[in-house]
Order: sequence, then structure tokens, then C-alpha cells
Amino acid sequence: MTGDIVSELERAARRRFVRWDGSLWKEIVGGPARALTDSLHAAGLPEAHSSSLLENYLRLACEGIGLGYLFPTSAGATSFFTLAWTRLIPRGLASLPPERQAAALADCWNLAENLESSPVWLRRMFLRLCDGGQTLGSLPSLVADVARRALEPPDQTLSEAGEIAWIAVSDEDRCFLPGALHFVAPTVVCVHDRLRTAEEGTDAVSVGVWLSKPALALGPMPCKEAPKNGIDPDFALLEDLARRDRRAADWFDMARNEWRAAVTLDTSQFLVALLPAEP
Amino acid sequence: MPAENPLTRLLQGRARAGPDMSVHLSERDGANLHDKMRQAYWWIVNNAVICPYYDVEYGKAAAPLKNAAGDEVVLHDSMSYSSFVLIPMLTLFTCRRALLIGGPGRGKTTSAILMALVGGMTRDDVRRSIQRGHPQLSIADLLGSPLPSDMMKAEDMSQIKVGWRKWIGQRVKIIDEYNRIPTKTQSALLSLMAEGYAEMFDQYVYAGRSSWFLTANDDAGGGTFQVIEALKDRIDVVVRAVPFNSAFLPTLLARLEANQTPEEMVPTEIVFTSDELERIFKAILLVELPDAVRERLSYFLGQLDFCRMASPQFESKSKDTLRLAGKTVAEICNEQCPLDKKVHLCTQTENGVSARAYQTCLHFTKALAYFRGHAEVEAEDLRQIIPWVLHEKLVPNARSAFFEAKGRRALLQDRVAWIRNMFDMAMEEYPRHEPVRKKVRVLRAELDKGLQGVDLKSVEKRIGQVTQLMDQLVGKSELSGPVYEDVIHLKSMYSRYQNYAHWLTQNQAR
Repeated sequence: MTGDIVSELERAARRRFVRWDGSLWKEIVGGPARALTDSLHAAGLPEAHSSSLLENYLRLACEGIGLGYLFPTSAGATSFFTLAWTRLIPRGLASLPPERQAAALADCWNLAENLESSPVWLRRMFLRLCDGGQTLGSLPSLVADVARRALEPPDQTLSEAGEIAWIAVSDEDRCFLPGALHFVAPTVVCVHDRLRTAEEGTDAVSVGVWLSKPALALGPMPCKEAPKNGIDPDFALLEDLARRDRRAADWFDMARNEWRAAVTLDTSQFLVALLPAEP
Repeated sequence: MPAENPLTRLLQGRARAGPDMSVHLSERDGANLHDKMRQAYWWIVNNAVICPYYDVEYGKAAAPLKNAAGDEVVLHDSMSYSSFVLIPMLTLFTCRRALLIGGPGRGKTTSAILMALVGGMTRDDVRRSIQRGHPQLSIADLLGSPLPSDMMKAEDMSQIKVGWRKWIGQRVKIIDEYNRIPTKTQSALLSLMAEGYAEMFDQYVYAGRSSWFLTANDDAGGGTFQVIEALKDRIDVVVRAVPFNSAFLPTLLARLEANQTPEEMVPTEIVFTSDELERIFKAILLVELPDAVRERLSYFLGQLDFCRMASPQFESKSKDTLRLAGKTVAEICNEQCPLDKKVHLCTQTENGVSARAYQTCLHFTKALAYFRGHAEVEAEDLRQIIPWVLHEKLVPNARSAFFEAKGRRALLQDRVAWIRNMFDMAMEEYPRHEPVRKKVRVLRAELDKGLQGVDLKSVEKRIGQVTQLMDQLVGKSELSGPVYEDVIHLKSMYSRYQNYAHWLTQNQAR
């Protein structure tokens, strides 16, 4: 890695960006960028090709820092951009076919930047999926899969023989007491804390859950809504649920659509989800 | 997969891999321009202009911290901004005219220069285009002059080409120490500011949509020349320079040691292109002004022009009548007027405000709401903006009994505090008057639907309603500024209905 490029990029970035973070730049140059250099070297790629890839990686990292997409490790928060630039790219770029490598960098940038202006649940979804072992090469198929499963109406509708899933929404927040809930996408539900509600412009404490198979807790999601649903006594599946699982009783709130239903209970930190049965 | 699923486009964006294996990043489209505005504001506040306090404050005020002598410090629980940077920024984006006042060396010109740089001008352009006021500044110095060769050869005026000064067409115009410009040159400046063009030898130059920043060393016209009234009236907003707080001395030292001025460090990220400025200008105009906020503005401003003692003729009870007669409010606002001087605002000012001032208030309030990222204006936006817009427009009646009460004399020395105090007083009274105004609004709304097809019987019924409300206001309420406005408004409705009824009667007779 040539020091010239690093200092030249930094000098230009200092002038361009209001939010330039010099220490984060050092962190990237000394950590993930070095790891990427090593992996490209180990893959035996031509020197000019590796240098070009590394320069592109650093230039985009520079832009990401300036625009506030990239978080330092000390921030306690993360983003897809941070995940991609600190882990996915340094670990996975060298293993891609050389002719796909620049395109993979561009894909990563586009996905990260588009997610910045996307709903929180979508950002969380990609963060969770990519954190859980997705590789750089599988990004296009992952995007297509998420697009299909999260935003499009599912093929199967809810029926009596549906599956029941118990989701521990308090895993990331021990104090979380599931309360009111509402759908933010056909298969994504936002569960609000019963006590920490939205007040005077502040966000409610809420957790997102993707009611897919298997269900995926998406973690905390700021939400300004104050859902009020109540229990629908005519919803036959609830009765069926209580019959099938004796733990499911004393409903607190429920949300349902044609394809999914979710219920919170008076005395439980779990969310009960009803999913269509496998065909 | 259906084509409209937006998630399928997640991998499309401004990054593209080129055939040479490099990744090209195209420019951002600046989708969120108010974010950029705020970014520019914070950069200036944090890096360029030292602001010892933030005086445009939002949120709830906690109980003030007080001492025995009555000094108070109020702390608010939400965002606050420095008017010294914020108001010039809003001027830049609304293409209006700001006057920056304050003692020498307080950063007035620096602030104006920063606005020009943020507005996309280069440092060289800014330096060349600043017009510095001095007693010898002629019209030719300010606007340009005819080309000498043409003067010799020309047989008529159209053959004389005028070499206009380049600054006239710039998006940001800076006139430094405008109160040192001689009166005749001020008139040329006035026509450029007011009409947007200048004329010389039958040739015209147009200023275009632009933001003006004028500086003056004090706001009392203490320069070499008295500023002509009309020029003062064209200034939309006043910005007061803030005093330097010695706690910021290390910042000054760091600048000295770095041998760099803030203007040299403006990041390109906060520089707006002319297209972005244009988009912001249009977006500001689209910010919603809710009826409730608009009503508050008219309630406050509408009562300022009223003077019960100005004339026995009802329609002429305004301060303009006094002005035309060469009288002042101070001369006639005495105990013969039954209105309580501690409550009614009319006693506090020598004048009312023009329609231009109303428009300026609306424009800046919208700009402030936009800057805060809001789609509609809040009443607090109005409260924060009004003192700066009316700063040079309202003249206090220093002899009013209102200012004789304990602690109020000091309001005469600080127009921002005085105007804000007046606004707060008005807002306290507003809920009491609102039910009457609501009735007037209902009648107005009915009239605004149009008179086509309305028969004589209905018109007479409406005239009856209008007269009844007028009777109630004149007979049972104290004739104050807001009541006067409503009565005048009702009378205009009455006249329109009467004219229509008259026309209907004549037509039916035929």
C-alpha cells in the first residue's frame, strides 16, 4: 500500500468533507485496508491489478467516511457500509474472479448507499443476513432473494394449519416488554415496547421481526408510530393457536395481514408468529 | 419478479465499474438539500465564525436562572442556532437582502464572504465583486461607465456601449459599509436593489435573482452619509454581529498560527451549485404555512398600524395618517386615548409595517422551517424570525407610557428583545380575540366563494350578518388594533355585498 495515495486521498478529503474523521481513516488504513492488501497479495493477482483495486477501495472508503456512512468501532453502532468495508470486502474480494472484483466493489457501494436512504427494517435485514455468513459474491442473489421475500406479497396465505413460531424479541434488550405491533412490510412486523412509547417527538423503543422461515429478529428499530390494534375476537386462528399451544394465552395485542399474524402476550417477552404451513 | 419492486434496484447507483477495472463514482444528486444547508451552517459555526451564543432557540424553556438583581438566563431544551450565521444563510437561499450591523472587526464582511463562497462563487470572484462604500464612490464606480471610444464615435445614445461592472450579475452581492456611500450613488443602488436593473445611456443591466449582503458599522446611520429611507426600506432583514467572547481566544491563536483564514478552508461539500440554489429557492416556497400560524402573524402585524387618535374618520385611524400630517405617535398617544398602554401594542410603535414586510416575514419563516427540515411552518418559527425582519422597520415610540414601567426602558435599547416581547404580548392576547376573528373568517369564506348566482334575499341576509357582527364589535368591544382591523375588514365585505345588491336591484328593474 503506497503511503502517497493514502495521504493524497486524505488531503483531498479534508478539504471536501465537513464530517471528515481522520482517526477513522487511520483505523481503516491500518486495519481492513491492510487485510485487503494481504489477501490480494496471497491470491497472487498481478501487482497493477491489486494496486488499482486497493486504490478504488480506499477512495470509496474515503467517500464513505466523509458522508458519514462508515462508523468507527468505538461508535457502538454499525451500518452495512461499515460491515462491507471492514469485513466483507477485505475477506472476500480476493477470492472473486478478477474480472468481477471491481464490479463487486461498485455493487457494495451502491447497496450500502441505497440502504442509507431505505427504511430501517431493510437496513437491519441486510446487516443481519450479511453478518450471518453471506459472501461478497452472493450479494446479487441475496438482493434478489430479499426483494422477493420481503416486499412482494407471499404466495401462500394464512390458514388453520399454519406454523407457530416463538421469537425471543428481548434477546437484545433484556428490558423489552412486547406491546403493540404493526406491519411495516407484508412479512415484517415492528413490535413496540409496552412502556417506552413515542412521546413528544421521541422515537418509541421497538424491535423489528422478519416473519420469514425461519423468523429473523432484526433488532432495535426507531419508530414514531403509536399503533393501536387490539385483539380481534373473530380471528379464528387465535383460538386455534391457543388450542395447539397452551402457552399462548392472555393476548396483549395482535397484528395480521393476509399472509402473516403476530401476537404479543400479557405475561411473556416472546412474540408469537403465525406463518403459513409449508405446501 | 415484478419490475416495480424497488428493492431490485438496490445494486444500481452512482458507482460503476469501468472496463479498466476502476470504480467510477458519479456526483451525488443532492437529494436532501436541507441536510446540506444544515451542514453548511454547522461548518460555518464550528470552523469559521465564532459564535459565543445561540440566540434562535427552540423547545421548552426551563425556569430561568436568576440573581437578586433580576438578571436572568433562560435555557431551552431543543435545538438552537446563531442568528449571526443562520439569518445570512436564509437570506442566501431566499434571494433577499440582509443588512449586517455591528462594530468594526466583528465578522460582518467575513460572514457575507462566506455566504458568497457557499453560494458557489470563487474566492477571487468574491474579492473582486465586493463593493466597498466610501464617500467618493460614484455611479460609474458602482455600475460601470460608457466605453470612451464609443463616446467619441457615437451619433446617438444607442451606439454607446456601457461597460457594466461584473458584480451586478453575480448571484451574491456584497456592499460593504453601505452607509458610507454618497446619496446620489445610493439612489443608483436603490434602483438596482428595488427594481433589479440599472440604466445608463438608455442601456439596461439586470441584477437577476440574487442575495444581497450590506454591512454597516452601526444601525443608526452614523456613517458618512444618511441612508435614504427607500433604500433602508428595501432591506429585508437585519443581522446583528455578536460580541467576541474571550473564551474563544485559543481559536483565534490557532488561526493566527496556521496563517489561514476561514474563507480559504470552505469544503466543497458545502458549496451549492446554482441548480441547487434554485431548487432550494423553489422548495422553500412550497413549505406549508398553516392557517393557524398565518392568523397569528396577521393578528400581530395587523394591529401595529392602528392609532385611535389619528383621525375622527374611522377608516383613517392609522399611523400613516399621522405621518402624512407630520405628526408622531409620541405627540398624540396620551391619556385622552382610553386604551390601556400596558396592554395595547399600538402605543409602542411609531409606525406599522408594509405589505413588503408581511411578505418578508412569510418568506423567511418558510425558509427557517425548510432549514429545520420541516414541511410546514410552526408558530415558533414566526416568533424567532419576526424580530430580525422588523428590526429596521419598526420605530419605537420612546415616549409611550408602556416604556415607563419598571424594566421596560431597557427594551428601547434592544430591538430584538423589544419586538419579541411585543410578539409574546400579542400571542398572549390572541386566544381571547380568536373567536371573533373566526366569525369574521367564516363570513369572508362565504364571500370568497363568489357572488355569481347569489340572489338578493341571500345577499340581504349576509349583509345582516356582517352588520350584526360589526355592531357587536363596535358597540360591545373596546376599539383596539385587532378589533379595528376586523371592523375595517367587515366593512369592506359590507361594501361588496351592498354594491352587488345594488347591481342586482338595477338589473332586476330592467
